[in-house]
Amino acid sequence: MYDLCFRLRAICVAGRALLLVATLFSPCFAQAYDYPIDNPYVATVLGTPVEFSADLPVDVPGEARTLDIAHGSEIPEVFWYERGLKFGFAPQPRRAPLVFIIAGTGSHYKGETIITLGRALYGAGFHVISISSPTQLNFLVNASRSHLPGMPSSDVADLYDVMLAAYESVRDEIEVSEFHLTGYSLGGSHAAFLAKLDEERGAFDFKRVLMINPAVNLYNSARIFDQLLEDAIPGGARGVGKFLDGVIRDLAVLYRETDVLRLDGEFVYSVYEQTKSRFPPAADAREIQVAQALIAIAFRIASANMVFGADVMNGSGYIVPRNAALGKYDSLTTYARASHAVRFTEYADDLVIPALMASNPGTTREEILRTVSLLAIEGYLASAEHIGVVTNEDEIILGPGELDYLKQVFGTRIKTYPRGGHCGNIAHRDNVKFMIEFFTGQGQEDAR
Amino acid sequence: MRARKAARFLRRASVSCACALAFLLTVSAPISTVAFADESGDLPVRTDLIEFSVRNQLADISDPIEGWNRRVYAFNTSFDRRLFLPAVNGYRAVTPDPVETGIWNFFLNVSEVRTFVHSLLQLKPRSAGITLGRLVVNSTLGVGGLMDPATSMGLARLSEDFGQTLGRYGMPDGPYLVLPLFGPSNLRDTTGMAGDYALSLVGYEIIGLSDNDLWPVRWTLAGLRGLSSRANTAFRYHETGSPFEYEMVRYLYTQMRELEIEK
Repeated sequence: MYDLCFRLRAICVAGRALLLVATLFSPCFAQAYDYPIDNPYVATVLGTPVEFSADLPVDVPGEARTLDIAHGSEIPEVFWYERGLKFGFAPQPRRAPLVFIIAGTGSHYKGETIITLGRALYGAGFHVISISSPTQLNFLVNASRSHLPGMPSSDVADLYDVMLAAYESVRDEIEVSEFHLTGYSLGGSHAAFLAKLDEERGAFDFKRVLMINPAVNLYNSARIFDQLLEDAIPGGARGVGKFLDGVIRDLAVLYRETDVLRLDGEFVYSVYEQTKSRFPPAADAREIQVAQALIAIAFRIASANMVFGADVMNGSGYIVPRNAALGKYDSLTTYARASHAVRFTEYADDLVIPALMASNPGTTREEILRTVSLLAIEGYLASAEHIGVVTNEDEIILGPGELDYLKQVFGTRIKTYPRGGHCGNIAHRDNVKFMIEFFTGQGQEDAR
Repeated sequence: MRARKAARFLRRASVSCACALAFLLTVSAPISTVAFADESGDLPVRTDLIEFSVRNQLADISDPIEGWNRRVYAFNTSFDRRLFLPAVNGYRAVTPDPVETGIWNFFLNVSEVRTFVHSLLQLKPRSAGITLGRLVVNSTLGVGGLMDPATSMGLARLSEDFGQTLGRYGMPDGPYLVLPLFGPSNLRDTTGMAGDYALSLVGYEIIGLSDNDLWPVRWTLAGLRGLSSRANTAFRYHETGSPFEYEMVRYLYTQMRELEIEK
């Protein structure tokens, strides 16, 4: 008993001493980054808990807009519901700078991350146009020329045309003072290539370009995800069914205990907190494994949607047999399974690279693979003062040496946070503040 | 009542991440890296993928009238886009937010009666107790159900229906069905829905709304409930970005119902 009291008092004293030290040195530790989740995989899945998130405006005006730019090709029956390219548009009532936001792999113009970025930027006074990733079905079907997304060379040209058409369609409604560009994940890498392309074509003359959690080499990052599926799930892709059975059973247990079943981020976070307090040391390994598996599965799903879309649009016979003309009401279950069994890198090797080699006789596979990396435009990036990068020290989509490479190329124009995994901390107040200051130019002035 | 059920399901379904993840259970096809060229030789053809997919029937959901179901799914999509959502937008435009919430709470409160009845039928005293508590609190303190003080008092809303009662007593879910306007269902839940409709007629009888002359009241209530429920449902057809949305919804509906019945 005495012992306990003593220990408590000792803790109090120690605590007070720490506080004192902290106050003394507060200028040094002024704004310790408090994003709470220290495992990068768990951070990627859970994102930013509400109490650490920036306050963002809830009501952002503007609805989805639709463009008719199918490049002359018919939209197949089976994609009847995807007619017209959709993008998001949030106009300011006054003259203001416009930011284009490019979504990450498989995500559309109103995915959760892009909405967060859009709300932050709109709230800071920017017009916002959000564009789906070229790897997303709606974009693939409507706006891709090759219908074989995955390679920046063709994707970025398609993206640029969509940005032009989108801006053209709304230019009478807004007054634009200058143009900015951002994107996250694959969209972050696209932003770099787009900035380079705009240098040549000059339609926007971007004032500032921010790459958020970009990949350095798209093929490498895809391989990391493919590998994660094999590593995190016993039996790899074969074991996905069994693994998810387990996750659903866990959910069922929790459902029985809490009486409430919601499948939103808040709920997942409470599950995480609950399991953590219940099984402190043991749950961590399991949680990390679950998080890894969920990330890998989410990527595989995005990839499968794209593989199926690309296959149907090209009639390549890779997934759907060539003689099977799919109608509006045909079952796709078999093709769904087949598409999910394809690794992203297999799709690239089997469909995209051969098609590129065929259309550019004489090019080698190695030459094509070189174009998927930021290395291909390194000289430009090193000297482009208006381009910045924000990413995390524990980013999971970067291979060995790739973060160092980014630091070396961008020098003082890269900002890294200690935690956050892949885009997990995008909604954190510090991250949002940094992004807004990047575009308003305040950050630079403060630094001077 | 079924509309609300479906609406609640669809709201869950809209959490695309979670449902997409769950979806993969149905598509756990084995990987094979064998690729070979077809006769025309220009692109590799992964017929091995299809072959494995057909053989892997593990987590299949019975859907013998898939062709018909897909037609109804497409009809629901068009109905939703052309009529239902515009009507919902009109409804939201004319009702101030608090009124909207009040109306939605009112219908949720009425549905507590159904949950109470089915909690009793399934011999779940705890669930019946909580539901009765909610009904009493929200009908009195909550001004006839327009507000929901019970939830803030720690009585979370539960939901039971005839389909769950049937499932509880061992009735299998039967073939998957997509119902016009109501959306995903199966033979068991459709039967349950008919049962709940019959019960609601009994309810009208009890509160004196069953009189033939009162049909406009009944229809207005039904219409308002439909609008209110759609307004509170985030799901939008074919905006998941997945070409396999039909499969995804089918899988998720079936799994969710199984969880609800187990509970």
